[in-house]
Amino acid sequence: MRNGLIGLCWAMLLVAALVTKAYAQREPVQNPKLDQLIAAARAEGELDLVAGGGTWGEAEGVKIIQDALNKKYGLNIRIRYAAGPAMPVMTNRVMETHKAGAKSDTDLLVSNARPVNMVLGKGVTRSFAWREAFPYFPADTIEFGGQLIRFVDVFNGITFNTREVTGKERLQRLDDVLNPKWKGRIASTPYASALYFLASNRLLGYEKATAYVRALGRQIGGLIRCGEESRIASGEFLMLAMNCGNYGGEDYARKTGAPVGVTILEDAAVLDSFYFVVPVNSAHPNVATLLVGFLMSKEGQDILSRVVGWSSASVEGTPVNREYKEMEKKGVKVVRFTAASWAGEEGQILNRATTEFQKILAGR
Amino acid sequence: MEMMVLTRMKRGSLFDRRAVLVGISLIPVAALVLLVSVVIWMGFRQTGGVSASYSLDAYRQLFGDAFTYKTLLNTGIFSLVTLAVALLFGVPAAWLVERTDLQPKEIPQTLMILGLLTPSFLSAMGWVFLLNPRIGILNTLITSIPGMEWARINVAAVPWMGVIQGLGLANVAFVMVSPTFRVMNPAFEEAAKVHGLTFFRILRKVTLRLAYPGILAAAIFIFMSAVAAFDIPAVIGLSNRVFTFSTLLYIQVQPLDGLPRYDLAGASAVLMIGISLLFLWWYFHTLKWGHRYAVITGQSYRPRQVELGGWKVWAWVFLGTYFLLGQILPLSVLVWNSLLLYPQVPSLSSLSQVSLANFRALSIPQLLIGARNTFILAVSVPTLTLLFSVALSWVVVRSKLRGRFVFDIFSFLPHAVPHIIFAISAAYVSIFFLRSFLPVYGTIYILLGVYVLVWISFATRNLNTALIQIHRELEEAAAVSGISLFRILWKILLPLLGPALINTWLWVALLAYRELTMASILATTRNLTLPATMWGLWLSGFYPKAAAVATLAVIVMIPLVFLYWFVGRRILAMERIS
Repeated sequence: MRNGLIGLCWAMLLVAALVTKAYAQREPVQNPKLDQLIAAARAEGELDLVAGGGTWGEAEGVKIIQDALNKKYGLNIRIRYAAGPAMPVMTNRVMETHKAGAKSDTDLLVSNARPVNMVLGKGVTRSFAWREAFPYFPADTIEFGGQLIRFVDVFNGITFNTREVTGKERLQRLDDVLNPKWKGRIASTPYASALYFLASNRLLGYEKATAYVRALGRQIGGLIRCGEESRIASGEFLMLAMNCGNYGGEDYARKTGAPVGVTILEDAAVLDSFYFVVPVNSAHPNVATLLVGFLMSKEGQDILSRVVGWSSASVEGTPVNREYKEMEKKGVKVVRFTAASWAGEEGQILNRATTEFQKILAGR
Repeated sequence: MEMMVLTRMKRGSLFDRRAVLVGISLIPVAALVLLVSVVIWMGFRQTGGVSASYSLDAYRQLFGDAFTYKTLLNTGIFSLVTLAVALLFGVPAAWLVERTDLQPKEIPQTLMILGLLTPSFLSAMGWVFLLNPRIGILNTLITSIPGMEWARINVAAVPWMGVIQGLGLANVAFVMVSPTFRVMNPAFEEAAKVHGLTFFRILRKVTLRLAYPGILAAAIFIFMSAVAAFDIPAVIGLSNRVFTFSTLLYIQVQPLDGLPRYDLAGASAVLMIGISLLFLWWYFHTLKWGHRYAVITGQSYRPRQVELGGWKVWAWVFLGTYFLLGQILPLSVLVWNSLLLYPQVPSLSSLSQVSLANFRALSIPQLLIGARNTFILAVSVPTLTLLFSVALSWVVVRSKLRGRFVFDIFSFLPHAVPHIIFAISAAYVSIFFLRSFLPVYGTIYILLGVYVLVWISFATRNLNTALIQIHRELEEAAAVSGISLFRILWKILLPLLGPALINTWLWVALLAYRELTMASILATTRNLTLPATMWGLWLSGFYPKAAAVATLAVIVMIPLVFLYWFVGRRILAMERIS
């Protein structure tokens, strides 16, 4: 009897192993769309990425992504990278090359929410059945019928020098930034990063936001770019209000050990987004598409998070996803802005606020 | 009769060869006409993605905004201070090196260009660490002296920004004025000395007056460089909300959110073209009396040097002060930061963090690709620039071609148009007009073409001045003797232009080596340059890594530049002997 049971167990294990093996072997057959894409990508063999400096974590970041992509799909793709102009300029460039009938400089466009609206409905984007090839794609990341992939979400907040701004002076609310103690010692960005979101009726509304930015304009000592965390680390400025995403400061502190920290304000917990677009005039559209698919997987998101500090709130288990859940648990209202936010009535408010707030911060 | 036929034949052949020179000049002029036209066109074009309409909105917006005038005032003060400081250091330094017995000359010549070996945005960061009111090392040192709090320097004040920019551009004055002093005939000065004029009076009344076209050309060039200067105003000015025209423009053209406003950029560029045309009018007025400054004649050309005697020490003190302030201090900060993981003010605690980690972490294959492209550009750009510039300068200064001033206007205009706009214009032209028959877009050739066109302005200023100083009688004598125009160029003009050619070649090579603005706009994976790699690292927040690349580049370049000066001077000396 005992021997019979053991035999049965062995038989079941054998069957399970065979079924698993057969399933594993059948996986590619179950996803012909992906197989087709991999084959097309293999034929293309390379990928050109041009983006504003820092977007891909420079040469080292691109190498890590390239190796991971090749390992995942058994390919030998070569990714070439060059630091180019800022995202809106690159978006415009893709449009212009398309209009001229030329190949795009970059096979994959990375753009932020406002300028990416420009490519919509213009025949510039390559359509693809994303979830057929990559079933794990979170549905909400596929926007405008698959023209845009919202691959990264970033919390906008305050980047600060952790030696100068210590625990007891914690920055929790918008008004904390206006503490007279910081007057003349903090910076904002020339493009009024994230401050324009405050003008949305889902946050302060235009009037209150304008009043706040006026007060901030009197408070700041100067303007610096996002990406100049080194100027916070050196103590030239004690904080940046508001940043282009918490990833910048977090990534910088992690890679250099600099005394830089980031915080999300409870009354302005803004979630902004970045997008992927595969242009129709891409020279290597299949590799670009495959890369998008890979980077939207948990594995891809982990790599993105490691090289640039980016991740999507919609992919389970990513840093931003965890942060998002923590904020919700704390009862903080997170207000999400996407490409659609820049269109329609809210878009008008945001556009107006951008122009006006930039003037205020510049002291005009 | 035979003589008449011979003369006609000679005239005919001279005319043909002139036509060749005019033809060579026409190539860059035609390209510049096209690019400048696109810039002007951009000022009227309102883009909405693919669709476009035309209006005067950009001009209305630009001139209807009071901030524009405030920015123009800042730009004016900044540029004037820059000019004063650049001439204050650059002209005496050029005189000391070229007209005196100060030895060895290769050291000041090499040190003068030290600052050029690093992209200016990195040097600008160096100045922040030196002179920032809060964390600047020099400010900390000054204010550590009791009672010296008042002496704290506010680097963000417009005049101080001008001082820093001026220190950075003093080497331009040096390079542009050096050839003028080098070929100057001392006979006039000696005559003045015989008549009892004091040394300083001779300097003021004779030397500087003879060098006037060279100094004026340098002054116009430096002033326009200051108007278009971006890095110091962006890194220092913007961080303290002091805007100049270039930073205002940059925000319009390179926004982080929203669409780039090329229309406003085009309108701004038109304003700058207008300003430069005013300067050009002044310059042409000087050129009209060019023969007054001709100091190299067929009768005597024997450059002799002033003996400094006991003044040598003071000459070295003067040069040393400039090298320390203008070159060594910002470079030292750069090297210091390349040894740290994040920028820090020097202290005992930061000293313990010094390491070579940034150097070890660099992506060597990426750097090698950038270095290869940069090397190709640094050699080909000055060579082509000189080829076109010699032809252009000859047409402008020597030929009697009607409308030759148009050649000079277009050869100078690129300097008035901010490089970022020029690069956008070049991108438009290459994408929309050239793509089908000259597919240069995205390749190194587009960088080569644009760099050559942009720096023709610098090269022609230098060569115009040098040509003015060579009296026509030398060529006339050669022509009468039946020597062809090309032979005159080869045997007479080019050797006499030698100092200017050598200086200009090196300078344009260094400008091509460090150019960033245009490279970042026209960057693709196939034309990556070394400065673009540094730019990428800086934008990623890794200033120390960018500083590490710059430090490596300086280590490689200094011996090359020293060698260049050493060989260059010996070639010139040999030519003089022969």
